[in-house]
Amino acid sequence: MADVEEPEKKRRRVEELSEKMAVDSGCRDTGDWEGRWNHVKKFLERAGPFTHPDFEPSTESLQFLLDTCKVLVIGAGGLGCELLKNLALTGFRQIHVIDMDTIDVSNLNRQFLFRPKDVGRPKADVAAEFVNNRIPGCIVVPHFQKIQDFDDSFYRQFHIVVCGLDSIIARRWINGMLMSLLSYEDGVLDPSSIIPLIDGGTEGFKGNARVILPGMTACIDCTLELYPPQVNFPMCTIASMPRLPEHCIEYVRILQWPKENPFGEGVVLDGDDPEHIQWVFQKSLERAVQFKITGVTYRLTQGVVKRIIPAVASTNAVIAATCATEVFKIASSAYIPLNNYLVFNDVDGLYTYTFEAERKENCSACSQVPQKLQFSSSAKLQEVLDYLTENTSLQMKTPAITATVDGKNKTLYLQTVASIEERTRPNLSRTLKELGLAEGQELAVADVTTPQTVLFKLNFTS
Amino acid sequence: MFGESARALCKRKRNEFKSGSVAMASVDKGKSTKKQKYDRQLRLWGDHGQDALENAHVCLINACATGTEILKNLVLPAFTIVDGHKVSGDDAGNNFFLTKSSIGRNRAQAATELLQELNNDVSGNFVEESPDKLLDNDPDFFCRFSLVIAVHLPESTILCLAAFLWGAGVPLLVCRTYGLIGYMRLVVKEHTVVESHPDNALENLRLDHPFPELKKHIQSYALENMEKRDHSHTPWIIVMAKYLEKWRSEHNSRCLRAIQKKKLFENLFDKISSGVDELLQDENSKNIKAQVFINQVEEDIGKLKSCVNSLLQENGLVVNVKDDYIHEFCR
Repeated sequence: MADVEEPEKKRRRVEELSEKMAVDSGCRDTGDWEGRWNHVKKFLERAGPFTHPDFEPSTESLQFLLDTCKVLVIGAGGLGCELLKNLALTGFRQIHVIDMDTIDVSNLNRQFLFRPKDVGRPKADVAAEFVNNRIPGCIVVPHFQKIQDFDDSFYRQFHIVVCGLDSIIARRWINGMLMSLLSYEDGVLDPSSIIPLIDGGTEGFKGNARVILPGMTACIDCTLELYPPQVNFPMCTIASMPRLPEHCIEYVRILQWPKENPFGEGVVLDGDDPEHIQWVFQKSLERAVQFKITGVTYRLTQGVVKRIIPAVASTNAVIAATCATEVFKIASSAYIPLNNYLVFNDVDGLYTYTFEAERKENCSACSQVPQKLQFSSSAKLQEVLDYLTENTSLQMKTPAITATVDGKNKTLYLQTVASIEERTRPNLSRTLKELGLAEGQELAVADVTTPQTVLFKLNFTS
Repeated sequence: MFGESARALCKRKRNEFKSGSVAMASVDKGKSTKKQKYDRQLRLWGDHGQDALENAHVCLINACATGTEILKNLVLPAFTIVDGHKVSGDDAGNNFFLTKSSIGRNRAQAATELLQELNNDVSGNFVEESPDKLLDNDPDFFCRFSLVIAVHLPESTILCLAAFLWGAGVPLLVCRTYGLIGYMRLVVKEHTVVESHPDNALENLRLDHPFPELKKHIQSYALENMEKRDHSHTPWIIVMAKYLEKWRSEHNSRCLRAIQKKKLFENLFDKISSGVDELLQDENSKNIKAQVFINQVEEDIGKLKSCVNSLLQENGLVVNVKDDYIHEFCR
């Protein structure tokens, strides 16, 4: 993608693109009309009791939103659709949206930019089309890709990033990416390298929104423990003493499917394939009957296999509105932003609460503090691996560990490539001493949860 | 008058039903597509909740941005928009369901078209009339609705509308947004919550007074003689009941307040169950402590009745509690 452009260049490019669209589509209107921005102007062209103390009303803020400010929306699903609508109506006209998914029927209850005829098409493309059509002058650029497909040169072009993701790993990744863009001079953070990250998440009737100023406020990894642990049933319960319908379904998914390979050798269970779900459902029913357990339904089976999270339009609307408001406040500097974490729950009545999440002193993502590993020299590499995945502040998924031994870069263990995993597996049962690691040694760890390798310093306890 | 000015705009695309089995197949296919489409919210409120939504009819007064946003989120129920205004340039600028070409047209009609487009299962209607006029000439118009949403109405209109709806038993939601401030107020006389689907139900299991069969069953477990594996697979209710028995035998429960008892019990439970790892991973473990209520049952019905009565009076409710209600409630 393009490097950071000067405002004048960008304005010309927007005009060119608008003209092109008018010529191409014929019916698309790109002109503003009388009164179009009157609502937004009331926020930006007059003072008020709630404006930021440093705020000076002017016409420039609106022009910045309309012509210059570039926003990245990550996710074009429940939150993404709402975010795009809100930002476009507020006057943001240069919006990029990234989403790697295609539209499914079950999205249609809340992702209102999509219609039945769009099922199967990329979310990013359809969302961009709809908004560009409905909001003349707004240019949403879609990217049907993973966030990991882009590097720092792409992300650097944006003034603000706002996320509507459904994965903690992805959140940590973009968090890490924005951290990597920070520049420090003599240990002092350069404010112009900060790209604010607004993050929203929802689950059923619950949601949260937070404002992250990389290098300044708490980041995603600082508050990793806030995320509830995933529900995983103990293996012995699943294998021999099931009590819940979920246990029956997990038994079939984890144990029976790999054993019986009902759709062919090596065919992996696909939660989106109704035939697969039907098979799991039937087998789960059989097991449930065996243990006199009730409650196994097709819907439950699908929910357990796909780890489905219930979702509804209203929660997404609230959280997206909160996030979009923060984007507006930060872009315009007109109002004091959320500081910094909002929770929302309307299961029972309506509850909301805001607090200031604190930075973690030794956060592996945003603190400059070198990470430590303390092990006995006779500890096995497996122990180090377990620590990296189980420690609540790290929670890595599939860490790859490398070190410089005898002047050469050595991969100690890597599991994401089968051949390397096989080759390095024996290292797991070797001791750190046997592997040639020394006191004070640096270990570089790569993982899906971060775009940059994390450096750890190894200290021997004995 | 409503009869003349209301033009129902029902754009409902339905499959043409042919005769017999083809029609049935269409209906089944339609039903299963709906189940697929609404799957994510069906998981929240079930089929009955979904039916209730689909059979509701919501009235929105004023199709400004706040109002259309509400209807967008509802999506399912039939809706009628009452709005006498014409679309202005300002309106078209901040409302996703109005466009430049809506300017000058009646706002109710313009918004209905774009909201209707969201979902073919839904029927949208509009009334090009101010609510004041309707209230003057045909207030019964509002009686057909499950809920009326009033956005940005002046106080005089709201008061009149609210008085009428209160009498008619129709819930009213009053909303207003102004810059970064907004409010909403729900006006409903009485609302019954049934078939709720709570995340974490706090159930009072009355473990301090187990019924005879349960007591016998609890006694059949000898926890002290169990292997760790068996212990960790014992249903947590049994473990809880056992420790509760033990705790009560060690404490004279009379002189302590409920909250103190609960704390003491929790401490004992923590001490003893600290070695039992798997139990604490159990799906309900986080609720274990909360779910044990050490009940203090008042056996004198007369005392109970006067207590309940005075509690209600304290809160400004004049209710004379009937005896059989107390019996039913306390059973």
